[in-house]
Amino acid sequence: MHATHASSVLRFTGKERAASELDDIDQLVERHRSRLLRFVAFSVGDQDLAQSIVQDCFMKAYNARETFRGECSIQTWLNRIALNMILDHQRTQKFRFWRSFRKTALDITEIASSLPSKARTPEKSLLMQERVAQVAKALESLSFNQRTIFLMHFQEEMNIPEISLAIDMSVNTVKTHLHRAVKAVREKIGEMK
Amino acid sequence: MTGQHLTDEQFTELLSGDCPSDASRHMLACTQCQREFERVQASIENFITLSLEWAERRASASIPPPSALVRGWQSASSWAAAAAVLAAAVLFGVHQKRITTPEVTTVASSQPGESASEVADDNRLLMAIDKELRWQTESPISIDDLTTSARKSHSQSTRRLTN
Repeated sequence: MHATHASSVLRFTGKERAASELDDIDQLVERHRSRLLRFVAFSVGDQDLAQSIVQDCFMKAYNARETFRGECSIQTWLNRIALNMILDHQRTQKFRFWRSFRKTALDITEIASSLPSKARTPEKSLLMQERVAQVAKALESLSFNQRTIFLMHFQEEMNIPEISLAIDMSVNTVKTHLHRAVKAVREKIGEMK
Repeated sequence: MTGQHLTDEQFTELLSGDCPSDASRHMLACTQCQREFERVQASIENFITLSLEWAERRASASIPPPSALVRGWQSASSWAAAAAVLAAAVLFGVHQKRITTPEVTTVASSQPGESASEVADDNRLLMAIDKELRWQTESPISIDDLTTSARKSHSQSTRRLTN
């Protein structure tokens, strides 16, 4: 009884905190834009389209903030909105148009070229860049579902049930896609070695 | 496990942080799986780190906070409003100039030097009109002619009757 009451209070306060965070759109964008951009950019493979989706996603989330029930983190909620928008884009001609041109496709060299860091030696930086380029290249070869689940799991640190809920797919199907994605990435990294 | 090494499912579970006991035991014993695991894990971790750094650079440059956009829009809209007011003022000025132009011409035409020639032109025009009107009244079938001829024919006929 006590535990139930305590958990409901915790959940309520969590929801209240999230609601206040969602009310301040500047704070919301500032806090989540990088991770959301990373997720969308690697899902669609186009940075300009990703930026457009991320901006629309924030507006959509802000306008629908009353519907946020606090059952997941705001990042997960934003990822879910972004994913729906990606799927909407995929269904339209607009997405095919973007894909056909891909003038602003992700530049792996740019992604891999990290800013100089005191913590990294030049050798370590070079090795990191090489590895990143390999994974980014491997991601391109995955199917949309495999890539999305891989990114949600490893980049966004979402567990299998969370992904299952977010993309409305059974847990077993999510697991299968994840195993196939990891296998393909392993193989691609091995090939490029 | 297939053969001596980790299955794909076990490998994924290990990467995800789950540690099935038999897979963990195998990892301790098999250096090949250990190296493979470390290589893939390092690649994914590096990818996560550097892709986030890239996204931070991109996002801060390309996704401004909405209030900045609103401020930008407000500033843009104020400039647009100023431009619209300026354009309206210029158009109004041009329009006023067009309206006043005939008046300027009228004033100019009422100058003494030009008025004499214009009056002469006007007189010539009026005379021409008058002449034209007179020519029209001097037509062969004027009312006077008709009455005169009618009177003549009447007197001739009465004379014939009396004779």
